[in-house]
Amino acid sequence: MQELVEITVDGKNMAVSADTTVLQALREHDIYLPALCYHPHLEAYGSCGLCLVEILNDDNWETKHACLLKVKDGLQIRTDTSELRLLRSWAAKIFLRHRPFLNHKTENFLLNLVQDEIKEKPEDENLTKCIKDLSGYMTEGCILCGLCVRMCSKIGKHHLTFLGKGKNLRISFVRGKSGETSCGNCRACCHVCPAGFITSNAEQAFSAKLY
Amino acid sequence: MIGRSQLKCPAVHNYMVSKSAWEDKKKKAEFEPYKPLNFPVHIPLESLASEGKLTLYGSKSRINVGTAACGRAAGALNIYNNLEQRDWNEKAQVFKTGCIGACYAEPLVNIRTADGKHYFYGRVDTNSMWRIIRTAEEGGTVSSPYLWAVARERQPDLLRSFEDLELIKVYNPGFDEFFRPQVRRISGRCGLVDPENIAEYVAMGGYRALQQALFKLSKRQIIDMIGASGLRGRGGAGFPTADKVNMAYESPDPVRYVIANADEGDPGAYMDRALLESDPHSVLEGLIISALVTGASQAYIFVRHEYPLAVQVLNKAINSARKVRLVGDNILGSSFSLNITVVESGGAFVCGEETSMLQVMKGQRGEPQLRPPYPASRGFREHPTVIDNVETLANIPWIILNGADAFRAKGTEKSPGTKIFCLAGDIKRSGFIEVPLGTGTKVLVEGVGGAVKDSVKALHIGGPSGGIVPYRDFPLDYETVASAGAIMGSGGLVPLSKKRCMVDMARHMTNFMASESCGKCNICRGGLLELEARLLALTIGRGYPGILDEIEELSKCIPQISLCGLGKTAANPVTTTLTYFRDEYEAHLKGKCPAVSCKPLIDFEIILPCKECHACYSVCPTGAVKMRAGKTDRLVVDPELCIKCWACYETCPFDSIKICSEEFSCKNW
Repeated sequence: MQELVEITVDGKNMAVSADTTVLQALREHDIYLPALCYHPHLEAYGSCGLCLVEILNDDNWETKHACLLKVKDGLQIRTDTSELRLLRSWAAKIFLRHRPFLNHKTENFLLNLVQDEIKEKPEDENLTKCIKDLSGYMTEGCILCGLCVRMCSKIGKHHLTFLGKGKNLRISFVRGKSGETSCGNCRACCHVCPAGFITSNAEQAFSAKLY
Repeated sequence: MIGRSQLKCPAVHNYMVSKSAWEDKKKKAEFEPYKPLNFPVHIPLESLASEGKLTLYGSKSRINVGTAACGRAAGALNIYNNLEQRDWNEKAQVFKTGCIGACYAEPLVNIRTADGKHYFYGRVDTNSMWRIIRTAEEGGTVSSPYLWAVARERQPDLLRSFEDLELIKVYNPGFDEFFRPQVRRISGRCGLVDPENIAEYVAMGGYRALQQALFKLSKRQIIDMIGASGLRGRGGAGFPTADKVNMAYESPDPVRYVIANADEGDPGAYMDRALLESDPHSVLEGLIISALVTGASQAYIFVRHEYPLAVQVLNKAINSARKVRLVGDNILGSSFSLNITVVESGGAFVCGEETSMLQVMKGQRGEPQLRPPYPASRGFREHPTVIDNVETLANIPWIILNGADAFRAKGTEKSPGTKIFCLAGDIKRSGFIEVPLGTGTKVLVEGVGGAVKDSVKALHIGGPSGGIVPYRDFPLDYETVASAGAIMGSGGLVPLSKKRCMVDMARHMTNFMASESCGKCNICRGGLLELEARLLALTIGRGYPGILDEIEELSKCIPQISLCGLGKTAANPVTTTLTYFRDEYEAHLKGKCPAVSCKPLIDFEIILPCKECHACYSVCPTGAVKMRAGKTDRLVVDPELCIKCWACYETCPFDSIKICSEEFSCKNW
């Protein structure tokens, strides 16, 4: 018998199993919470910053990542406030810098998150130029969510890794010690990639075009 | 055939004793106390101290040349080599010491003559060599612009710290002003002791605290002592050290680790480096005591790869401590054993954060992890790990020797003790200083630093994740600094003069954070880039309406979404400058830089009629200073060609060149 705890989500009480995170619990109860770097089979990572919720802590609403937050009895959660929408819209806006995406679903999903008043306004061209000057090139099409890296490690291949840090972060393909030419074409990374950047296999995606 | 004695495994061979002999051994053990066979001969501290005293208070003159990184940069090695090569005829001996703190005075030479007087020579070069030699050989004061101060020991032949010295004659008033407000507890030995000589450290009272901790105090007593002293972590967050140690001490896990965090990445802060280079044994002693209390048998020191000298000095210190059995098995003959390993990091800013430091030590990418669990309950290899800053560790021996009440005598109620600050920036005298917490900023900036009154506009406290606050007199302790919107950080203190543009400073700090972030969180990686781009747009005069709101919104969003301490504080320079110096942001939006520092927003003008010395004309590298035909007003700066290198401004002997920054007359965005 699974242990159940009671949490309050947007005013509604619900019983969820005790050993889950808030995001899993909400997904089980069909409550929509956007998330890009989350995969049910992988450990929570918390990099995308979309699955934000507010929890009540001593009369203060604190912003937390739902994917990293464990449920506990009497937890009070808000999932949709104007502040959360603002935070998500900035996070989504930053993702949209990596446009164009091959996966239109993700693009539309992110565009929906960006608040209307920001979306309609055309961006200042000076700013676009400044960003180009600063970052050299954005990783076009790849949002650096790290799902492929984690998936590749999870299935025990360890062929993908992060390179660099900060604004120069890239994902790179690592050949094995024996210098294998191919990573084995399991295509696990293609299936998890939310942006559709990895089309055939990781080696092609990360060694030829951008990286 | 191989005889049994030739077998390669001696352990097996030794084990094969006859049964009767084994019984005998067992019986003996009942009567005689246990004594290991190869019991190391412990060198008592007294004999070490007497050995150290020979060089410290010998009959020969002792010449200390400050050869820490700051001294080396100023050319101290050259001075040292020159002095070393001389045949002193048994009259003097030359030593390499660390930095005394007055980095502005490097290369600094300190001569102790046999009568207990200390002569401080500042900014030494080869011209002053003969005077140093004369002082060392004959004693007595030689009038010289290089001789800055003379001090004597309060009690003859007793020198445990800089506090034991009394300035009797000051030739350079700045030198006195620099040291007067300071209370040198943990950095007192820096610059006076040879960092590579353990005997001198012991002679100055070192390792006595360890002796006390081992044989006189219980672990509980030590923890209570640290707790009563109210020592807070000096690395930045200010977490009470005793709580951390206690958490590991009470843990059921028998395996524990202690790590000294010497990975300081704040630009402008170098107290860890200074301590490690000048007085590594005080850090080692603190580390050993910390390990003793925690119950660890393995300690690590995590040092930046960028501090090659510190690593070298540290390794030598550990080796010499191992030789006299202060590190290794059965320290000082007790049952306590400790191994210390130095770990060199790649030197990333984010790796100063304790969880990401642990990741690096595991051999993984330096990404901060979510806390809790705190490392003190589950850290390195999933065992309780106490991670302390180098400066915190150096405080521990002092507390054990002098007691908690003496520690509380300086500092404020909530932040007791002293703190090392690193002064840099627009002041006359920079260096690392130790003052009681709660000392007013005015004392530090105008007294110690010697800044000209009213020249300082703002104070940058705590490195790139700290804040920039307007300069006024406030006490420097954890609470006051936090209420101003900055953090204490590791203690970098950078006064900024009126010529510094706050927007440009904020941009520079954001740039640093955007490149040093680990890049895991989207908001920290991309958000800081967005923020930097907007600040860059402002400083090059390409702002647009609404940009300030966007900057404000972003700088609020980044700390909320980020997971680790780096992201949560990354926007601090922007939020603080935006609250305190909003007028500068607004002026930039209109195309004017009030501090006349942002290159795209300034113009150089020659005030005519000038003396026509043509200095600016000859120095201009791009030919922007043009001569016109005619008899008057002949010189003019062509803004098209000018690259704003400031060469003409600095060359002009008559101050006839002015820099101006005008608001845009028409909107050109």
